[in-house]
Amino acid sequence: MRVSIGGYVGRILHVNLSRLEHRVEEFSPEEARAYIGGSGFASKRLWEMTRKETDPLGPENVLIFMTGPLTGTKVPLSGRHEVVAKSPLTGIYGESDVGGRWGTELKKAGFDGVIVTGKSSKHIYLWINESGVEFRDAEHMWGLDTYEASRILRKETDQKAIEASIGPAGERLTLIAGIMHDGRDGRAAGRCGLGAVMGSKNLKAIVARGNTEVPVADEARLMTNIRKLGPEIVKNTKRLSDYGTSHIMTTLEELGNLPIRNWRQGSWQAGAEKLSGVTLAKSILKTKYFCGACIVGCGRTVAIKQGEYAGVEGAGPEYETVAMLGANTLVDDLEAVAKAHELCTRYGLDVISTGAVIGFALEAAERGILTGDQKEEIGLDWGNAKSIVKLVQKIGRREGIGYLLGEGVMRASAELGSGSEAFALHVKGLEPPGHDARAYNSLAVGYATGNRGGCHLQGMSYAFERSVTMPELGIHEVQDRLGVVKKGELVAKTQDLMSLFDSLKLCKFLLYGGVKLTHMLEWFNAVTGFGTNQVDFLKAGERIYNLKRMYNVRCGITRKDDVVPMRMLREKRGQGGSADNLPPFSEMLDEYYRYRGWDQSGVPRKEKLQELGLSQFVT
Amino acid sequence: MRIIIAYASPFRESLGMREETYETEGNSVAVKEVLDLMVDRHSSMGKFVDTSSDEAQRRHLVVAVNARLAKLSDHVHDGDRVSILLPVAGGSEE
Repeated sequence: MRVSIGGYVGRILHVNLSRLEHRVEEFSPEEARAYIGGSGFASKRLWEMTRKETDPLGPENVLIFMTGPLTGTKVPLSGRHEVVAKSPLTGIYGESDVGGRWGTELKKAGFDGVIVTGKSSKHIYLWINESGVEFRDAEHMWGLDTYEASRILRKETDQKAIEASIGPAGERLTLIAGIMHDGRDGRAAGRCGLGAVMGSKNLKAIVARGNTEVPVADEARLMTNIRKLGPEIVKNTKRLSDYGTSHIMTTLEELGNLPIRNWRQGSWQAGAEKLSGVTLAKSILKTKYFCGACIVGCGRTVAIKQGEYAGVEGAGPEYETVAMLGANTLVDDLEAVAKAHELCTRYGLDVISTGAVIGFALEAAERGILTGDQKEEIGLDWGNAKSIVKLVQKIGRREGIGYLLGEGVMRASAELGSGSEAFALHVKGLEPPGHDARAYNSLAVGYATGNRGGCHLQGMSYAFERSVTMPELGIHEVQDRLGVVKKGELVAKTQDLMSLFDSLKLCKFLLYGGVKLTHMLEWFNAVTGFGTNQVDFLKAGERIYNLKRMYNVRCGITRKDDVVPMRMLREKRGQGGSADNLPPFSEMLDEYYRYRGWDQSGVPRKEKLQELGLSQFVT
Repeated sequence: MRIIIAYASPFRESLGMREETYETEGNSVAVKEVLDLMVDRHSSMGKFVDTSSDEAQRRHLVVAVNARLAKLSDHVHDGDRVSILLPVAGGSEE
């Protein structure tokens, strides 16, 4: 049944690349109420369309692009969509949230989402617009980076079209490859190796363009709210706007949150300063970048006019770039990091995993585990900017040592052995981002139980241990970052909240703008016309989180996999803002399971699944 | 008593220093008063200080004492390090 409610087009496009056929799925208002959209819709379909045995890089895997009901509306910071598949990097639930304008274009072209199945016999791209869906030859752009591909794709379709595309890394099935969006503006669905899934299907790009406005049930109600809240959001996020996500660099260094020297070092004051958003604003910043419906503009567009890295122009480094490709490798040359960021965007690599695996390689070389040709190949050395840039190129091309490192730290350490597992930091195969669980105790539980592996955005509990409150969730005060009490509850609540962000498709930086659950619900109801109450709204977030957990349980995940990298649990850094803290993990995890209604092996109890209407999602 | 105040960016750049030492009377002083002392010395920081409530203050800057996040009513003692930090977190669109 096609929905005729606000916020949804009511049509999901299914594309079978093996047969070069497509069809349209319609969905019910009941599903929209229960699973919202975005991550909720996608996780439900991933469950239904894949199996435990599904090979992530086989034609039987599905690649899902899904917008939310707020995508394409005037709701601030709603220009986002979710990309979901069974991850080749982790073998479990994989997803990546991305901004830019692609989701808005897809929706205006007439679809809430695209689900790709099968495998094309030749390299192709999809062109989606209001006139229909076309399978087009991509042989002439296979091998090109995402900037070049973008230029050609827009020339062949529409200069105002936006593409989701892979670079050489995804084409060559590099397991830390992402899917890049918006060409030179470089919005990345970086995590979980989803670029390799797209490459395995011989799909270079999906190009979208549309003009049809997204229906809104109560435009006047929505606009009244936005006019009131918008200026507050702008005021509260001014520094984020002025200096980008890396404005926080020196603050995080001071707190001991920054990953330094493959997570070994607790302080790096001068280096953090050189890589901060303030330094960037004074040097290579060209302009701010705004995703669809954004009123903050945290994105950085940079240009380097002279010197070794002259010619870099486009998406600039984010916090995660300067943390993982800078601090984690001890490279304090901002222009080199900007170059590495551009290479990641062009090749289609996740900056987090790329920085993580380079940090791992540097330590392996230091410890004599990488030797001979492998070590000499690029001159591995801490803080050597040139070699870091060169290494990113090798990973992107899957050449030499870049082949091994492109498999991620879990597989690279398994290959190298010699005790390298001890400093290969990952959770379920996914490298954690630039936030140290020794600086925020709750993050240990968040990393361990993140449905896609080591991820800060699945819960973002640390934000509530620094400056954010959420009275609707009972979080009336900022939490003690080094405390223990009720950390499991905090993580569970914030994970459910983030499920709503990922399903509505809202940018999580709204939290810093002062947006609360009440505002999110008001937007949802004004746009859709639903009269959802707060209890049911939160229940939807919990439902979605548990559904993903059940997907992972079906893949064999239990408590034994809900772990934190040992370095974060056992090695004190002895300096910096979290010098002596080690998170008391097991105690917090027990409490988390209890609060969740999961058994002590980490499986949601039958009663919990019934309560959430998930009884059919059992293994 | 003597305390150190350390500044994160962009305060660091606007003040031209990473940290500085303050000397004051007594055995302890509330965080709220430390912020007043800071503004006395650096009037440009005044626009970032709103001590009407913890929540109001956190919109502008966050205070940590010896790396532990502090409330306005918490006390600072001789030898403590007070960090003036940003409230907003990092992250990216990954």
